[in-house]
Amino acid sequence: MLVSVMSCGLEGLEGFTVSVETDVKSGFPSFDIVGLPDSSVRESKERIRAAAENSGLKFPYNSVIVVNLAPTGRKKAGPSYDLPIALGLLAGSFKINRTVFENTMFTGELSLDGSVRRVDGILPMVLHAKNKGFSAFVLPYENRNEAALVKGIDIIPVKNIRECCDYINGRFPIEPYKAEIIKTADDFKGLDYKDVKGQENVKRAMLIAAAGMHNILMVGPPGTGKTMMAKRLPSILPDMSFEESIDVTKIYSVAGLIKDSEALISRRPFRSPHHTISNTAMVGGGRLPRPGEVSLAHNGVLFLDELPEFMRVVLEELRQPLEDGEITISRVNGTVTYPANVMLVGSMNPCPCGYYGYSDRCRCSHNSIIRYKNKISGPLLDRIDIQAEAGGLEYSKLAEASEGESSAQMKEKVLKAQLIQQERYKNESFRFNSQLTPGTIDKYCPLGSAEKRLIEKVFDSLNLSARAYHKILKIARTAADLDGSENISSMNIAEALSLRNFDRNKD
Amino acid sequence: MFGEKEYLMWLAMLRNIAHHKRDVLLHKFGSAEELFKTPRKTFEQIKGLSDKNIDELCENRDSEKLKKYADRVYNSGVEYIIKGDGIYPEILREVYDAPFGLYLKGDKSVLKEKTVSMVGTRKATPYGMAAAEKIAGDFGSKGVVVVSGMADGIDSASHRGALKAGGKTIAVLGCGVNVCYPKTNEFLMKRIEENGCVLSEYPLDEKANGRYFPERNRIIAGLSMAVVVVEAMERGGSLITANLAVDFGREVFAVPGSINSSASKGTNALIKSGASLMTEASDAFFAIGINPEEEKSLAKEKISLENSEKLVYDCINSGDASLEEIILKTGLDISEVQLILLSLEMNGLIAKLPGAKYQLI
Repeated sequence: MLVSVMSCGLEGLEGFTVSVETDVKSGFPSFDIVGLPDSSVRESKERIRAAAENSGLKFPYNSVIVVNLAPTGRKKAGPSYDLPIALGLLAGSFKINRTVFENTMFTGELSLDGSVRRVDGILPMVLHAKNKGFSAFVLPYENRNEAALVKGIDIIPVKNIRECCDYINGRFPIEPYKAEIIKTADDFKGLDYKDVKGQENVKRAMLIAAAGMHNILMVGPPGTGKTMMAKRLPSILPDMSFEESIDVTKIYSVAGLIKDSEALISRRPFRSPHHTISNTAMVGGGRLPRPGEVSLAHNGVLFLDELPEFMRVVLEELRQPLEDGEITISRVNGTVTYPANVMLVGSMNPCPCGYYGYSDRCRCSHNSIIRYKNKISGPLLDRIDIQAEAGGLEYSKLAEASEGESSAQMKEKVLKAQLIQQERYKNESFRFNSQLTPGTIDKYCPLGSAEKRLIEKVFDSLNLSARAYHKILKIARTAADLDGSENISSMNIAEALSLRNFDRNKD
Repeated sequence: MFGEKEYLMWLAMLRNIAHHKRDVLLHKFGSAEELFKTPRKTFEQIKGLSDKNIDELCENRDSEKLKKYADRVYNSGVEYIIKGDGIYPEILREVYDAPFGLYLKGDKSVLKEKTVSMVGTRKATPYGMAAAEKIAGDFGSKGVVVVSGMADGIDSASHRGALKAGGKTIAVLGCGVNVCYPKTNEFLMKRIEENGCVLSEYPLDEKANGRYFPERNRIIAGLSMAVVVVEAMERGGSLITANLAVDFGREVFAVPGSINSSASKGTNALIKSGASLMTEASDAFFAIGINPEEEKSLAKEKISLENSEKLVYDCINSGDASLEEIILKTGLDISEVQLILLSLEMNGLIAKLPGAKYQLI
């Protein structure tokens, strides 16, 4: 007897409909799954048999069983086909109401005792089902909050296979699950810039970076609060819109990082991978490509502490996502594109020992300092607009310093500056000052005669390049937006120049 | 076909014979040509020449090769100056172990100018770098040629300071003039060749070698009447240069530094043992032979400062100040401070140090 149950597979962040066809005939007992299953799908045989048995459902033992996962050309992975396969087999032997199967999707992993376990990637699956016109989605109880983010489709959470069978038979009606959207806490774990004493220039650099969405690199000796500064950056970025949140949640869903208590990721992500990270973990990959750190930081902050310590290949791989806002991973099994629109925040010491220019104890040779800096390649450095120097503050002065501006105040300024940018660039394909190209810089960053004179003078005496010129104008534009002024002032230029330290420490 | 110059080039190639031995041989035989043609037996009778020395003297007499080499020297725009030439610096000729020949790349006329030598540690502090640049700049703008060794740190800063002020400078290398060591100074070397020259007693393509640097230091000390040590560790090449300078009867100047800074231990020790203390370039004018009186008119014209500029300037005046401290002390807005700092820097009153710190020039 042939039954077909609808389920959903995942390729990157996109779901695709999988028709699980089960054919049960009497004959010499066998159980085959075809249609490019990976080993975790193939193992579902054992789980299904035990789950049925332990739930008091009768498994068709003395039968020839063939399961086909169509479309047969695409790879299927993961345990999420346990439930649809089991239902297909049981439907054949128990004659459960089959009309349900036509417009309902099923997914879920089975435990040996028959309970249904959570699966990864529920959000993109439900979105796909809704777009394809399915009216209901039967899924694990633990995934219900995440699934309920999608409106316009009935979410039927089930706890075990018995309950699921009874639901299909109509013996145990389950109300479609509706939930208030559970947001992640908005308090940024209490991280606030007002805790940062002193370091006014780095704080200001952070403010400018956030306002224009510029990537930023902090340079300073150990213990000057670079990490502290970076961790607080999400607290001054504008809140994510619902669409942005859904995008982020999809990625986390596929990566299996959604907790039941926070279904919708509404806080901007902050990822700080350790510098020993492999390039697959950074940009994503694997046999069936999974999202990497750069995608997990989508719409948020990717913080790379001790930037020169990262493997060079890892840093080089970041160039494309930083440019395009997405990362395309090609593997034998297909090509997947994950969004990767991040703000890169890096930190580094000025030299291998960490104290060059800050303390007399630095004994690094000129060459070793140059070599250390050269670990960050030119093309990558090119994508980092701001280089801020974190000064070393002595303890006595730390006590003197007053409490700084709070994150809430800074966020307000950022919002204002971003609004100005949105208004200015409404006819352009980009939204932020950091995305200005040399051509559009001339259009949007006009200089008065006094400012022109200043910048010419600076260039002559500091020997700056044309590239530096454009970067300085971009940053000055953001500084002017923070002031709410239409024209770039000399002050803005001076400030921008102070945020381009790598340009001037050359011969 | 060959002149004495070419034979001296040959002699300079024999790197395993110490330079003073070669000087003695040259003196004994009268010319390099004579040395080139003398049979092995004669050398064997000379005391103090090891078998290896004799091997080297006798086995490298390929005139074909020498001719090719000499052609290459002349075709690559390099000059070989020997003691007999008029352009050979008088002041160096006085030194008892002055090199018998020097390769020169660049403008040879600077050898006739008044010179000052500046040396120091490679591991310089920002203070040392700024001091070297400033002092070299003051020399450069007075037309004094700054001689140094093109090493990292103080040497490079000295060359740079002189070049920035529009002055001339000479780099004495511990490798051939076609080799740039350290490699990072390639651009600097080019600029030195355009605004002065590079000198070396070693063959064109000779690579840098640890034992060449102390030898090279005698040329740096010999090329001028005053040697300025900007920053030096307790021991190191700069102190060798200073000692040689004393031997040659030159005046040694040392720029003082913090008693806590290890990069100033050497210079402070020099002062203790009698070197002249230098705080500005004019301290050495008398030793070089410039009349300090006439220079006064060239002193920096006073730039008038506005109120807030004065506030920031005074803040830095009390010692190196970080941006943080300036903001804290003056109570000015950060963007405003940045503009003031930039304009002070543009006016040549302050310099930016790594780590968002500033100091007066």
